[in-house]
This record gives sequence, C-alpha cells and structure tokens, in this order.
Amino acid sequence: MAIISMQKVNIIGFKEDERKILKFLQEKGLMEIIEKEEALSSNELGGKSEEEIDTYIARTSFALEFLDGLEKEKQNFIDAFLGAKIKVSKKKFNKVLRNFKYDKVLNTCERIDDEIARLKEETKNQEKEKELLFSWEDFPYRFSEVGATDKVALIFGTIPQSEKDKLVTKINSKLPCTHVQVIKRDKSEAFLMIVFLKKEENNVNNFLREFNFNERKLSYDFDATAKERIEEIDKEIASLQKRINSQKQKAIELLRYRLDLKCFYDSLLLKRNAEDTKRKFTSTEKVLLISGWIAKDNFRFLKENLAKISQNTALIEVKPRRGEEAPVAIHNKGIITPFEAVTKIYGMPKSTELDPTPFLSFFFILFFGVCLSDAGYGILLMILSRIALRKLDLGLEGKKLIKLLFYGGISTLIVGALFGSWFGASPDIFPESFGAIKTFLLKIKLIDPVKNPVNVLILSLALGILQIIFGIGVSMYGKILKKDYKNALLTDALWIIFIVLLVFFALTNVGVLPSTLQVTSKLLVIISTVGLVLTQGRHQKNIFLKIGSGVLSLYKVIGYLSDTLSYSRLLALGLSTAIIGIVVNMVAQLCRDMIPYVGVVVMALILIGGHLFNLAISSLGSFIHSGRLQFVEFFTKFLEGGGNTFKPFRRETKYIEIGD
Amino acid sequence: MTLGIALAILGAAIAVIACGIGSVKGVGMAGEAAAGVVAEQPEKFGKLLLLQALPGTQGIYGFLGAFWVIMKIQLLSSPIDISTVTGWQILFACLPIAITGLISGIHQGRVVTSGISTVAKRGEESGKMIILAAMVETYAVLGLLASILLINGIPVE
Repeated sequence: MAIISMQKVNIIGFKEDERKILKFLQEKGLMEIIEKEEALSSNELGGKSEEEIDTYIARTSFALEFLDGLEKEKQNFIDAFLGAKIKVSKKKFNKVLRNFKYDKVLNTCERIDDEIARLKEETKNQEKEKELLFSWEDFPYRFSEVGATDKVALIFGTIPQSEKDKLVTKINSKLPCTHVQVIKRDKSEAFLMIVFLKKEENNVNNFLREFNFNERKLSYDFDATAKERIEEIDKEIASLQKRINSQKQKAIELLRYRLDLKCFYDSLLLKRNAEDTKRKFTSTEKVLLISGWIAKDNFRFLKENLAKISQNTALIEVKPRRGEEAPVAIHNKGIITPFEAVTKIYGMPKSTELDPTPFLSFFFILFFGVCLSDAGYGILLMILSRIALRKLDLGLEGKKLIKLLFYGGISTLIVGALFGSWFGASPDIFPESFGAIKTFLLKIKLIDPVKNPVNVLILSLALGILQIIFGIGVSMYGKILKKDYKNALLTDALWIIFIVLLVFFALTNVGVLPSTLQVTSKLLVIISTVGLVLTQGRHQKNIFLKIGSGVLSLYKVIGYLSDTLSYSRLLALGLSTAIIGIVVNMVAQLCRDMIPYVGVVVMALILIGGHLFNLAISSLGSFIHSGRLQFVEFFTKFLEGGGNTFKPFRRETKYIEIGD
Repeated sequence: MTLGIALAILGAAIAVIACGIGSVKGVGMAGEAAAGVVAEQPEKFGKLLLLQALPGTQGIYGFLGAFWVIMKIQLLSSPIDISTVTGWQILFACLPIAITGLISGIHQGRVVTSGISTVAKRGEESGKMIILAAMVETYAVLGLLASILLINGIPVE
C-alpha cells in the first residue's frame, strides 16, 4: 500500500551478451532504462538495419491495410471499443515468425496492389475513350473509309441547335452540291458532317462561321464504325474487370496470412524498440553498461537471472545523482488496487510523497454512490460489471476500472436504499403484494432528496468538510512519517482544530447544538484564530512579517469554504439521476395509457432503454465528478504530484498480446 | 389557465432551449474534431465518444430544470393556478441553469475539442482531458442546483 521504492542500478556485462540481456529485459519488463549523459555509442549499430526495420514496418502496415480493404476483420463492438489484442502464446508467436515467408507475402501483396492499380488506370482510359466516341455513335461509316478525295472535302463539328435549321436552309439554297448530315443531336447542340466541293470551300467556311459552327477534327482512323469500337471497348473493360477480380481473388488467398503479418509487425516493433533502447547504453568495444531504475523488490530476481544469461553480467546498485528523481510506481493490495485507476488519471505522486490511493478510496466510492444514488442502478451496475469481468478480455487497467464500477454499484445500492430510490420509483408506490419487503424498504428509507433537497445539500457539505479535514490529516500523517513533527503540529493539526471549532461554532449558531454553548464556542474560535495568526508566519524573520503572514494565512478559510461548497455537486448529480429516472417512468406510464393494445410493449421498451441511458450517462457523470472532488478538493491538501511514471522497458505491441 | 402558468412555462422553455443550444454547440464542435481523429485512428473511437458526450450534460440539466418546474406547478395532472408574481418568480429561478448551461456548454465543447487533439497524439491521457472538461461543467451543475433550490423555495397556491 504505497509507493514502490525504487533502486537505481547499473548492469555491466560483455558486449557479446547484449542481445540476450536486451531480450531478457524486454520480456520481463521490470527496468526503466535511462540514458547516460556521457553516452559513447554514437551510431555504431549501423543505421542500415534500423532503416530496414522501418521499411519493413511500413510495408507490413501497408499489407495489413490492403487486406483490411478486401475484407474487414470481424470484431465485436466491445472488442473494437477496447482495442483488444489477439492473444498468442510465445511458442506460437515464435513458430509463426520462423515459418512466415514475409518477403514472399509482402511482395505478392505489393504486386497485386500495383497490378490492380494498373488495371484500374487502364479501365479509366478505356472509359474516357468510350465517352468521346459516344458523340460518333450514330455515324454509320468506318473511320478508315472516311476522308477527302480530289474534289470533295469533309468537315465535322457542332452547331447550336437553334442555328442548325437556318444553316441547312441556307446551304441548300446557296450551295446545292453540299450535303449536311446530322450525326447526333442533343438539347443544345447538333453534331454535323458537312460534305462539300473543294472549290466551294471558302463559301462553306463563311457560312459556317456565320452560324457559330465549331469544328471538330476527326482523330480516328481505325477500320470500324464508332458503334463497333464502343462494343469492342466494352468487351475490353469487361475483361479488365475480370482481371481485377482475379487479382482480388489472389489477394483473398493472402488473407490467411493476416495473423502472420500481425505477428511479424509486432516482432518488428519489438525489434525497433530494442534498437532504440540500445542507443541509451554506454558501451566500449567489449563492455556494456546499462543504467536504469528497478523496483527494489526485483533486485534479487534480476541479479540471479542476469547471472544465468552470462557469468560475465553483473547488476550493481548505484546512488542516484543529487537532485535526480526516481520514477514512481504505485502498488496497492486487495480491495484498494482498483482505485489506482483513479490515481493514474491524475498522474503519479512525487517519489517523496504518499500514495493517495488508499486515502481517496473510501470517499471516491461513497461520492460515486451519492451521485448515482439509485439502488436499482446499483444492482444493475454490479451485474453488468460482473458480466464484463467474466466475458470481456480486458487488460490490467481495464479490469481495475470495471472492478471500480462494481464497488460503485455496491455503494450506489446502499445510498440508493437510504434515499429510497429504486429505478426512479420510491418504495411507497410499490404494490402491496411486496408485503414485508416494502415495509423493510420503507424503513431503511431515511431521506428523499427530491422532496427534501436542502437536507441532502447539508449532508453533501458535511461530507465535504469531513473529507477536507481528512485531507489535512493525511498531510499531517505524511509529515509525521518524515519526522517533521513541528510542521505537522503547528500547521496541519492547528488547522484541523480551527476548522472543527468553526463548524462547532456554526452549529451552535443555527441551533443544532444548544445555544448555551454559543459563548464557549465563540471563545474557542477566537483563541484558535489567535493561535493561527501567531504561528502561521513562523518562517518569516521579521516580527511584523511574522504577524502579517499569520493574518494572511487566515485567507485559507475562504479556500476551504469554496472547496466545501464544491461538494454541493453531490446533491445536484444525485437529483439529476433521480429526476431522469422519474421522467422515464412517467413517460413509460403515459405510453401505456395512451397507446392501445401495444402500450405495454412500448412501456417496456421505454423503461429498459430509458433506464439504461440514465445509468450510462449518470455513471459517467458520477465517476467524473467524484474524481474531480478527489483531484481538486482533496489532493490539494496533501499532494503536489507530478512524479514521473515508471516506464519499464518492455514488450509494446500493436496487434498481438504475447502470452507465456 | 393564468398568466402565472404561462410565465412558469416560459421559464421552463428557456431553460431547455438555452441549455440545449449550449450542448448542441459543444457536442457539435467536439464531434467534428473527433470525426477527424477517427479517420486516422479508428481504434480511439471509444475514448472520443466519451469526450464528445461531456458537453451533452448541459442539455440534460436544462431539461431537469424544466421538469422541476413541471412538478412544482403539477402541469401534468391538474395545474395549480399560480399568480402572475409566482409565475415571474419561477421564470427568474430558471435563469441560473439556462444561462450557465448555454455558456458552459459552448466552452466545455472548446475544452473537449482541444482535449481530443491531445488524445489523438497521446491516447493514454484521455482521463486527464475528461477531468479538465469537467472543471467547466461545475458551473452548470451549480446553476442547476441554484435553480432547483430557488424553485423549491417558491411558495405556490
């Protein structure tokens, strides 16, 4: 239950054992490796192998994407949501890598992709040609037969539809030896062929210009009509399509290598990670020095196993440099473990501070319960998280989160029962057939936040004051552990006394405690205030500064007050859950009454959907706000935070989880 | 029906509409940012969805405020004939959640949008981004609380 104590170590060994040591460290994942500032190894690993790894990573990633494009991998929604990895045993992983002919598969993938791209390009070209030919579709002659003779010439082109008739009339009347043939027409334009005598060329041209004729050069000379050619192209496109499909078919055969590719990809990642880490080593030609941090408890294990790798390897404890901060990892036992997930959201404490996890656990789960505050949702949450734990393949952190939700369910059940809220309904309206259960539920119902919000507000604020005092208490505990008795007593203890007295004074004033105590409490508050003024400026040298600082320190009261008010969110979130629940029930009831025949079915659907929605949205809110109260209101009393998370050198993969 | 009831309904309507606008803007801008990230990293969809949902709570708070009014004057069964003054009181009591919901929804959306770009780079930090966004939401929560307590304190009949 605390911060794991860290030990800085050096591993010294022979260069020839480097690979084995590296592999061992990566596999066990126990050591964070740091860079020696006087690192010698400039780039002796040879950039080439690294480049090669990167190229292979890119190629494999491409191949996987390519295969994904062919057939999406089936993954259920939750696995996709969690980004679950495939579990493969170490033995199988190695076997796959040994037997996998990656070059062949990668080359095939790339070849197929190139081929498909080429065929698609070809198809596109054919389609473009076909499109151009469309305007010639009704031209009945083979292009090779069309052409000028000694006396006769041809011209092709388009003309606006409105001008066509005028042109034809004019040519017919003025130039009887000229023939105009319409090849194709659409709404706006007509496509014409005009045959004329060469000697009349100038006249024809003049007419054409007059009517906005737009010439189109004949660029085909093949021995077929446009129609025949289009048919030919269609055939060609179909055959191209067939070839694309056959390539795809070939690619689909590659799908069975998907797992192999993933293993290969991850093995490359591991290799690159190892190469990157290697650069942090200090090495001479023969000797190797690895510097880093390990948990003290792992020292013996590492030492023994390193010795097994090679007799020439040693693990040595080293003293950290002055001001060098150890990385931080936390470890808690049993029921507290899941709460590490909350601490991790905030970040690690400093290596010299306390691990806040055990201290926040009780309040976090209590506040979660007060925010969700519906016994029915509590039960549902417990069931759902149980199922999730059993059925889903969660990582270590995911499991912590789900367990936390399970505890949250318990807490919600208790708080909800006390508030008398069961899926948005109060036990009063339960049917009489519930008998003893109803009586029991009514008996344990202490307070109804919807009817008595003010009482719950007071309860929330009281919980807030309690946690703030507890927070200062933790700070005191931390100082005592460090044997800083003076500050523990004069700062933290004094403040706790002051706050307690202030609350005491307030209670006598509002009549909760007998008013005969008013004078006493007032006196006590004054005495403790004086005490604070006298002590809180003790670090100052000058007597005036001492007093001034002391008075200024009273300003902290404002901070504590605003912290306390922040706990009013407990009521607001609790009410929000309760009211949404009530609304769901009300709408469901309305539907049952208003819709004939199927009303009951609609009601059931609304009840299930509505309450699940409320559970989801309210649990999210409860988790976030309960967390916020820990981070902003609670941690600030005793924790600075900002420690470096312990990041051991280990296997980090993308697709595969390598088992033992 | 009296003018009082009309005023109370206006208050409830303002709460729902203003908070709804706040949430629509917030969730909308967060969704745009998230959609961009999903294009590159579809595996982060879950985290992004969670972040996007955050500015949505204001809309719910506005609805809760309105519902509190509905319950107060028993609009669904037999409305209480409240006086015009009481109607004004309820209308004013709706303003805290209406205004805080509108503005905090938009600003929370902005925080979430920046958070999403952080998550795009460092997926493991999504918890911290959620907490940062929740800091903004505090004020909508307080607005809701104030509205509920105010409405609760208004004498009717």
